[in-house]
Amino acid sequence: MALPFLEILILLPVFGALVIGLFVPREDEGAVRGATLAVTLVNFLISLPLFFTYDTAKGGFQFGRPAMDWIEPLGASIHLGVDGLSLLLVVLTTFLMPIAVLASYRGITSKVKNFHVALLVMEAAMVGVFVARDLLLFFLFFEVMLAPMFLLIGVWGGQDRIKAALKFFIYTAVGSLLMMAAMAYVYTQAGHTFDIEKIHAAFAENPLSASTQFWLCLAFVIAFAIKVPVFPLHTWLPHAHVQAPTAGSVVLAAVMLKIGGYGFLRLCLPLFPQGVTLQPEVFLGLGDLALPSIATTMSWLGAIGIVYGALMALAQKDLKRLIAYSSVSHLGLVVLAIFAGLSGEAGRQWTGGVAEGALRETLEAGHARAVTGAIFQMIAHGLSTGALFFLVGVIYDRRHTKEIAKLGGLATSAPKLAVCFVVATLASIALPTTAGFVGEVLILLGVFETNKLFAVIGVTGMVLGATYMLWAIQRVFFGPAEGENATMEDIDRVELIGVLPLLILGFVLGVAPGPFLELIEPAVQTLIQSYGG
Amino acid sequence: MFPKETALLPAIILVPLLGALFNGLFGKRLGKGVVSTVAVATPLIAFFFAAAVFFGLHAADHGPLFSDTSVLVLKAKEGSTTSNLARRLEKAERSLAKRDDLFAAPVVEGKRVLRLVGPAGLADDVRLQTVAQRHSLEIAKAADAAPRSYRYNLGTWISVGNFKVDFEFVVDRLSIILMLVITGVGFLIHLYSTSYMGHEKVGTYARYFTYLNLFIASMLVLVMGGNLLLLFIGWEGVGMCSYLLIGFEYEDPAKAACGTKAFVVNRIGDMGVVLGMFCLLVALSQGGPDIPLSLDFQHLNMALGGKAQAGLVGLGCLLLFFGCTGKSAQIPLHLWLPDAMAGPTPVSALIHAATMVTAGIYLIARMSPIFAGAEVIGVPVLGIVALVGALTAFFAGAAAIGQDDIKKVLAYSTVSQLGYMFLGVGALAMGAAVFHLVTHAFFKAVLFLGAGAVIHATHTQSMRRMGGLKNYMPTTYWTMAVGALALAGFPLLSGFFSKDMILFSALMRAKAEGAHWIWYGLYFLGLGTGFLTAVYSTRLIGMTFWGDYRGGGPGGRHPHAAPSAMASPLFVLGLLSIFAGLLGLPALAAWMKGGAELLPHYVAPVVAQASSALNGYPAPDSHIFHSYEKAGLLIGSMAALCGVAVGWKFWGSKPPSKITWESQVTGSLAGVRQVLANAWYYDEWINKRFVQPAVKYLSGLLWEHVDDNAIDRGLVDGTGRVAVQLSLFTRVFQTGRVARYAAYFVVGAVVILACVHLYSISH
Repeated sequence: MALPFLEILILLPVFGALVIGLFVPREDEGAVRGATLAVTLVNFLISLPLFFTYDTAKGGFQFGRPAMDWIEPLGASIHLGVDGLSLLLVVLTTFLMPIAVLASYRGITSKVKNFHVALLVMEAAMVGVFVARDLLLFFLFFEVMLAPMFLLIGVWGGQDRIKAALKFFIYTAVGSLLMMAAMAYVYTQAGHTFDIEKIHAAFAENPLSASTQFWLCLAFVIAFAIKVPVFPLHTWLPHAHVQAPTAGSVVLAAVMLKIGGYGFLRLCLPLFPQGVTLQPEVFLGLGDLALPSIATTMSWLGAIGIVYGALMALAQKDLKRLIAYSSVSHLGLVVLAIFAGLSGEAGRQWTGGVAEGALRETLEAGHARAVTGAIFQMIAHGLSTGALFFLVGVIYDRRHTKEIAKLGGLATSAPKLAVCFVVATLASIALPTTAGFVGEVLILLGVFETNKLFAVIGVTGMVLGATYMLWAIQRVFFGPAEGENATMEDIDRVELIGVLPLLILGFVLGVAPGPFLELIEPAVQTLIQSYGG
Repeated sequence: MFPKETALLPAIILVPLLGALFNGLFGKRLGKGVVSTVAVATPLIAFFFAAAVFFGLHAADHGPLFSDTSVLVLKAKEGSTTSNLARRLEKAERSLAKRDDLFAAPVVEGKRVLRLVGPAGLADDVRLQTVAQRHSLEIAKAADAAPRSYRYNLGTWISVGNFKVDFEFVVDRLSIILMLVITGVGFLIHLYSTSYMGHEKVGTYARYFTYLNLFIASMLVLVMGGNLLLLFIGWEGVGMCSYLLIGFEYEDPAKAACGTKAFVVNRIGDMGVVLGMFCLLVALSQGGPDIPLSLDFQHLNMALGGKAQAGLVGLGCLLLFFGCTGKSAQIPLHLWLPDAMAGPTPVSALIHAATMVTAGIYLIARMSPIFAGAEVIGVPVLGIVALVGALTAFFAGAAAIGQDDIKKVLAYSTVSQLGYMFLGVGALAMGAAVFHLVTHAFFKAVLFLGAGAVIHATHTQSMRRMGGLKNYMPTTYWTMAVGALALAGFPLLSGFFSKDMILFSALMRAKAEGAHWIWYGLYFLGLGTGFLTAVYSTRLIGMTFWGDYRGGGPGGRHPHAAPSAMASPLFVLGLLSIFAGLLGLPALAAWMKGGAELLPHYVAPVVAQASSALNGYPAPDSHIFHSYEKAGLLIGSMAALCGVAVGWKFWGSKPPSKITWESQVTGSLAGVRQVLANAWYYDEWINKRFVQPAVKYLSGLLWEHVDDNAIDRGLVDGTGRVAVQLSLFTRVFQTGRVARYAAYFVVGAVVILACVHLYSISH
């Protein structure tokens, strides 16, 4: 263990923000942009050894140091580490930040310094969320992350930015409140510690009653479901995306939404496996009502989200809103992947430890594949949707509109942009050899193994996704170019440098997913072991 | 065991892929000359490589046998001891393990038997030893007889748990035939395109050839992929190239829309492929935990094929076939192919006639051991395939008669001919279907390319504005006439033999024991389609080439003959359309003797075939077989000749002038014409008036009323409004007057105390 990589990854952006904030003159926008780009690039380089030197044979948390007391009376500690669940998300975050800086070099012209300071603070918080092994620390970063994003939307956003920013903030804060309440209770039950492993160990020794697990799990699940966002808690997302500046949208879609999925996997499933699968009527005294368990409900919401998000995307007149709804659809698939294996009676038997051999094997194999696919898909979605938002930003910076009806024929005036957009679309609709395909196949196969109906619903996303994306391309890029569309400037070199890594990496992950899957799969196996049963 | 041909496999795909990359990245700067050289050279190189692989396979098949096994078995035949036998079985198994043939049915069977008798052979039981001995001999013989194949594994692609997919390319007799067609016909069409697209700007020109080369590479991945998921890369890859090429002239919104439609309809089918794949995988996993979830074709065929399968396997096959109806434009997903004609004509020839659309036939042939036994609720899946194929053939053939757009005629004709191929596949005559696939690739390519030359010359696609072109472009006329006659099944041309073979297999199916009367129906449907085919083929030639030229208008130029880069591919393909039928002619094989095989028989060992013994077929050398064969040929010829005669009667004998053209069909025939011109109104009613509006309406409705109103404004903003109202209400009490606060305090205290009191007395 040479360098304290994780500490550096969090502190470097903070330090950079301080230096830029205090010492770089406000008027020197070039220096601000350059310095921010440098900091984010260095941070990305520092994160690379995580990926290349993580010992998959050993597994578990690595690169962390022993827990350090933080707020001693509360039992909160500074305890960092990455494992197969979080490593790729950390690298995705550091990878995207330089791109976010490049994405704003044209669009952000006012309060440039403040903007970049906010970006850096956001990076620190996002990395923090993924590397925290202490619940309170996790919560701290989770909350800190909100502020810069709130500012990004509220200050540099579009016309209705205040309303959108407020909606985003209040919505997430509601989730945070629920999570905080649940955290407090977990703290008392786990013997006054916030350390996630210790909590897990304590719960393994003295299991919580199923009903307690249910309520705690519900609070966490709602908090993360808002973040994902899961239908019907998703309506803040289109507003936020439409109003956010390009960098905000890229970061929001590519990283921040993933915190929801990550939270399910890091906290909800391993800490409250029975809470996830329990049918609540058992203790609500509603004997014959047959209420669905959290897993069943979330699976259905995920499945509905796939179709519903796609149908919403079809109805949109604003290109950015369309892509925002495509995220609802894609992340619906991720949610379905996480919960489908635990849904219904079979899931309850599994976590209750009464599933017989064959059933259990099927569930374990299918669930492992689906969850592995889900993490992979989160990365894939980050790349493809990040690229799409980036490119919509490129259009907006030139045409000052995102309304599909006002665009058209852009392939004639901006052929390079068109090629990039088509490639990003192919990645988004999961053409084989793109990362999305690997993720989707694993998810759908895993879900199919455990529940065929959910898989059939999920597969329709293939068709609907192609429909709304290709239809959008047809309206925006094809047809005759008239008026301002005919004279629109093509994507420039800086923007090309920003978007190409996203597109290329999408194919790299699609053709050679091996090293990434090898990283994820053991972590998923560990996760599944923790369900007990 | 690493023949040099094996190393060619990745190269075959890489060459056109690199060509696409090169032209895509640098083509615009380097000019048309470089672009066309690279673009034309790559499929040609791939063709030569494929030819080398073909001859390599051929030589291996006829080279030294795996006689080590057979000799060994024969030698030790007498006085075998248990250990002797055990060693022999072991050796036989090792020898078989070296064989990496894809679908060599006997080898597959041999390996299965070997597994069964292996332990038994070791037992000290004379009877079992004899059984084992006989089997090991049979296996050795089978291994010798089985055709060779090549495999090349580039490494693992996806691996999670016991689900593992490799980048593995396999070439056997089935794939090599398609590879030769793809690269060969592909080369000719690239050559033709250099002239056809010659007037385009250099950027457009480079873009065109980038897509075209990329298509060749994708199509090669499709037929060379050793597993279903690798095939799916090619499957969707060709779909993407097709999308890009249909909407190639994207400035025209109508054409761009056609591209989108093609992709989306194909994706509906692809949904079936994905789900079908999952069904097969889960069926595999039910075999036990130690069976790897591999999508390798050989593995799948071995594990799931060769026996009657209902349940998941049957369902999986049906879903895969649903995918085929998308890619190969069969009912109910055929509606995209006529619209695909928006693409440049050489694209229609290559993608939408000769290669991509035949992928469905290839897929079923590839997995034929599984399909042969698959059943869904008691109905054999291949029966459904044949039924869908025959119906599509008939309805599309009829629709072709009603089209005035020369490319639409050919598009419906292609749908119809693909239907024939599915009829053949469904009748378990995979060899015949592949035979027709090959001949169709030739004659349909010549027709499309000829049509391209005509369009190039007349600047219209409407046959109403053509006519009399015979005199202006004789090469095109003669080659297209040959192609049309081959399509019509005119005796002794290529289409005649291949079509006849398919119809004959349907007839044999009908004759076979236990076959349903429905096979007779399918046979007659196919025969009727043959008649329709001859009619529209003649009509196509008549309206285009005979009579007087109706186009041009005042001061219009006369159409010009096709330039040589366009004419020479026509010539080559025209020759192939005439002579390709010989590939299936018994006389040829007899004449060539030295190892040459008929194309259908060449493919036969690697696909599931209807064997006479198994299905109660009449034996190939029986009297009844021969009499049916002769009768079939005769009836088929009659249907074709009648069709040509009818076509001649309507469109040939009295060349219609510009004016009489409109009024030619009247009365009740006009109604029929209307229905056919609109292709039975399927696209109109199902797609345009039902599916599209329904989806649009549903998404609009949900968006406006559920998402925006109910959820966002209602629930979300409503919660906020409630909070605001609540605070407005409670604000009333915050007056700042201490006296009021004291009063609230007293009221509150009384209420709380009362509650406590009530609670305590109730407990």
